[in-house]
Amino acid sequence: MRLFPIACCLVLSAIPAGAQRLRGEEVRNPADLPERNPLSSESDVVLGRQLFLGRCGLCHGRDGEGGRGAALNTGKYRHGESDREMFLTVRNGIPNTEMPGTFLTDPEVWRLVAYVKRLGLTRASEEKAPGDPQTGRAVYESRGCPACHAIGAQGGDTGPDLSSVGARSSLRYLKESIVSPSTGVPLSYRTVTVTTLAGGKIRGIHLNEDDYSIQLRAMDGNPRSFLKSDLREVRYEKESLMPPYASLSAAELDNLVAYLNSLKGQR
Amino acid sequence: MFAAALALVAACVCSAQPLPVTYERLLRASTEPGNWLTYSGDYSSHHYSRLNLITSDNVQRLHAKWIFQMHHAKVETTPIVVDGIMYVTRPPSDVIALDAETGRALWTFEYRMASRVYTCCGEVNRGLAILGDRLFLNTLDAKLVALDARSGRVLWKKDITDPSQGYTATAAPLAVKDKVIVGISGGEAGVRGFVDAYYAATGERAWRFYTIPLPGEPGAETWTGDSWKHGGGTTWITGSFDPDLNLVYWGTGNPGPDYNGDVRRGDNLYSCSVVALDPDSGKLKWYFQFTPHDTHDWDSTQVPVLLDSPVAGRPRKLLVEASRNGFYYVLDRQNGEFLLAKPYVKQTWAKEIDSKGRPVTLPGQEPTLEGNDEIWPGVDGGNNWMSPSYNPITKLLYVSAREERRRFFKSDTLEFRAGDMYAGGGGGGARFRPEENSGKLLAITPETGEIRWARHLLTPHWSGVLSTAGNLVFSSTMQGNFFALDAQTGKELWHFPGGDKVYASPITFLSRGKQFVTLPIGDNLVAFALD
Repeated sequence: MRLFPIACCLVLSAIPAGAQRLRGEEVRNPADLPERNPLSSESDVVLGRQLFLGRCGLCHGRDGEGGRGAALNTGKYRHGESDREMFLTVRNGIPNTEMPGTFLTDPEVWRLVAYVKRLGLTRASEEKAPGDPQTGRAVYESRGCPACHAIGAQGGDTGPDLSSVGARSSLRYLKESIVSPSTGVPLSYRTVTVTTLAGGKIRGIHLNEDDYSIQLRAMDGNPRSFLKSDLREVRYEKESLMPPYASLSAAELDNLVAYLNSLKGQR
Repeated sequence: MFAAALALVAACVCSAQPLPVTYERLLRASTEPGNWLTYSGDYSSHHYSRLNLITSDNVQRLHAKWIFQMHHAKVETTPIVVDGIMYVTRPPSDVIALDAETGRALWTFEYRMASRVYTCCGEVNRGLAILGDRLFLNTLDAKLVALDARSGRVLWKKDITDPSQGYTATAAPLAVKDKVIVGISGGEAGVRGFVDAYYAATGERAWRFYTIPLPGEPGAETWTGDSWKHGGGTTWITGSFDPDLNLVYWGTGNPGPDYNGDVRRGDNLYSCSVVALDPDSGKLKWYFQFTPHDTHDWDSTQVPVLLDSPVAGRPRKLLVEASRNGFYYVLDRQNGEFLLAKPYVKQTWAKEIDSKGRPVTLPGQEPTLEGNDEIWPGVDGGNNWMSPSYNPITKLLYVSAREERRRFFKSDTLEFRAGDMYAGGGGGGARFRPEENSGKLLAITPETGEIRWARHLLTPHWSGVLSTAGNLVFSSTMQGNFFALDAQTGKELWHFPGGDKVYASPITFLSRGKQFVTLPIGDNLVAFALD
């Protein structure tokens, strides 16, 4: 915080003079913008939150959980994750969607970007994991995790891709997900079991659905599609497909968490 | 009965009359089922057609005949059809005349906005009005444009109001006598709503009715301080008209700011109401407020459906509406007398609607700073703007309903800036499991609110309803499965997987003696016929 006045000066000099408008207009040339957010201090985040609640929360939810608009608390942004890309998304809106551009001033948009990035980082970790990542990798492989999870091009598809899990998940969340995976199953990895008219049961990860059909990824990794007219029952389960790994020793768990925490993905 | 039906069909084929569409023809629009002459099909807003070439017996043969691609989301338009020519709007404010047989364009009017405007919910347009040989278009930047229906040439263009103040215009106008009545949008931007009428010949404004009264006017006592200035009450869905009573009925939207009512104590008239206006003068004849002091964004911009039927043994001229607040209402449209209200979806905010039509509210049902998860219906309501349909043969009202759980919060950092969001909070909800929410198509006995049957849908949907004399009800799921049900029983008879979200209502018309049904699916307008 002591650095704030200095940072602030740097910031203002980083914003092109023409960009400091009272009523922000559409940005047509992204090169006019700094690449990095010039207003991302704690006080900027606080101001950004006020702007967010009054304007963005209508569609994106109070905490960015989504609603009419996309969820903003996942750390993933479909229209670009860089500061500049996020500025452009807020400033110009997204054509052909309900996301409008804004007439906020440029500093206000930067503060919004700072706050939205914070939403996505609330689960992410700058913490130092106590375990050893290399040993944790061995735990990961020996316990069969790659059968369901992918890291880069290696691994299965029935569980979430873990290539960048360390960039957006706290140590606590990682630990909980291993020991008690049913606590917070992401919506995109819901378990579903369908029962055919003949009585066969197929369990898997829910992929897609409408009133007439349902698609899932079966336990063998294959995508399957069923007409509902061919099914007796569609049952959504609260339990994760992933078994709880409560039997890991404390050291194994720390090492595994350290390994997962080291997976920051590639940009 | 069958002979009568055949006679009707014969009448239909002959009745696809060409331009000009006089006011006298608009008065009898339901007798020209080969055409679709107003936003809701007729002045009573039945969104119903006497066409019966497509029936519950042959609808299985229905298939796509043509697609008109708009390449611009999101398409909420309801077309006008006159003598085999379809006039349709494309977002944000274009108009295209199509050959209704082939979907080929005859002319295109492309509208360019002078400046960017703020919109809460997409750059949408819901359609046109026609009178004589003129089309009337509301533009997103709050202009009213008259076009020559033969060529698309601009005849006049008038400012409705200043879009830089947060106003937009998205509703289809309604032509009544020599005037064009228009509503205004911008309810999330702290505007002050109104209904306007313009002379069709010149574009000169005939009158304006502000839905939020000025200090000193009746109703002003329902606002605190200067809150009326940003009071909302927008009018973004086309109303209905009773020529015998000479009254136009128009729904009004939420008060502003939407979710934080602390700054606007009181009932906030005439937000969340239906207003009955004299179309000649714009004078308010009566009003009925569905949701006093709304804090949930439950606009009353549902299409008011007019029908005549006995209630409790007494003949009545009714106005019925499944309100966004989760209750179905029956009013006497002569004077606004409240007759009945009954919930049609899960609702938790009111113990009941009392004998005067006022909700008896329950505690714990307000948006909070932290967010309140325990309120039904959700922010998009039990119903929304999509068209309902009243079928005079089945005597049922068909309504698209939403069972939805959302999270309401309010913000205490209110700051009004012209042309910017002024909602004071919001209603998220992605954290709820999808199975907690669903849609349903309801068949309601209009006089009693009794639900005759319900067709469950996986997801809350935004498609309106069309019913026809072919014993059919058409609507769509949120995923674009366009479907037809038996109007008597609700049994599913047909569906077409359209593959994209639907935010529009189906219509039907004749081309070369064939009955078509159309619906925008995603940004494609798709036309279906039997052969």
